Amino acid sequence: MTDDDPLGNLLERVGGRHRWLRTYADEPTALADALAGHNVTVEHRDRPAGVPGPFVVVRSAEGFRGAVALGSLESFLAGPTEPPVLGDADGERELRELFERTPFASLERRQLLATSREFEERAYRAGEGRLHVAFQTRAAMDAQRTTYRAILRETDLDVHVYAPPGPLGEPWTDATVHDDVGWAVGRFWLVAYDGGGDDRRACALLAEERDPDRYFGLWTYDPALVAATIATLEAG
Amino acid sequence: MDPERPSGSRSEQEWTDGPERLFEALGTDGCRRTLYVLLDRREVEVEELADVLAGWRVAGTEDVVGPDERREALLSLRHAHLPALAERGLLRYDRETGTVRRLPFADAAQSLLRRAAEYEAAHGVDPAIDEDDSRLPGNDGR
Repeated sequence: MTDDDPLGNLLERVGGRHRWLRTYADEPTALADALAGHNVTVEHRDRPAGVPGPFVVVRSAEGFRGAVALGSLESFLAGPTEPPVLGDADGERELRELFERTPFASLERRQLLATSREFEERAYRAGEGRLHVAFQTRAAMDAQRTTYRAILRETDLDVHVYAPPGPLGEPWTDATVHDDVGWAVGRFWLVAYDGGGDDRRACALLAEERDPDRYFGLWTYDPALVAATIATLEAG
Repeated sequence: MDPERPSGSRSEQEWTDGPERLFEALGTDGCRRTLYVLLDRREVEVEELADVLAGWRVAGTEDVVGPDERREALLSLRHAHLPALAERGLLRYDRETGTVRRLPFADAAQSLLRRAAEYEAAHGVDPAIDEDDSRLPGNDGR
């Protein structure tokens, strides 16, 4: 570990929540491949007679976390084809909670977009507090401008944006833009909301692009971990 | 326990005789589904059985079932379904180890259980979700 990679170090340090999945299906699924990495163990069982469809049981060290139809989990992990729009983005909260703080070795961009949108939505609905967002490129920042214009116009949120230096389609004068941070901003996809005084609303997504379009990352609703993420960001 | 009324209004003899004990068991979701699980496995742990009964509720749906409902399933298994099935001679339940084991009567009823399971799988998903969508004009999906 080195001090010049605080976000990378944080990601390594907090990602210890193992999940055990048991699929009840007619044949072994591709889920083990989709969840490649050492933090998820997938075991197959034959689907019992009478069950109307394949399903998955998710366990953590604490025990049973939840069960869900196999198809729902597969489409959740792949992410929606269109990112959800602000105002209607909390549909998969229950599924997302099943994998809270579970590091995935290979997250899809679509899933990251959906998770980001859910967290932005939480902040938007609360209307107060501080929302931190790191974009990998100025182009990605431009692409989210419409959503953030609405967030900034309609709420009292204090929005802090981290991005590499470079030209923008239009200025973000309504937010605080940090383009001089020490950590390798272009590698990380990050959204963190402090809850605006209510710990139950705190959430953070932290993902690192380790290969082109392949992200290692996790999300959390743990207020202490969200605070640690924000502190790391603010330390620059 | 009152020896005249060991369970409900029937006598002990009636419970342990004939196909009635199986048909009675088929009338309860938890009992019936436990027997289905035992069709392909002679033995299963009660903890896994609770996982399966919880998962059963969401199979074919878009819902997520959580720890509370799973705990309810486990309690029902331990205190109602498994004792009832054991009493009818359909399985053996070891409370100490949590192991559930199929008994010969259930073996004899296999083809009936298999048919019942097929019927249930075909009718087990509530189609109300699709109907709800079609009833909303102008619902353009998400």
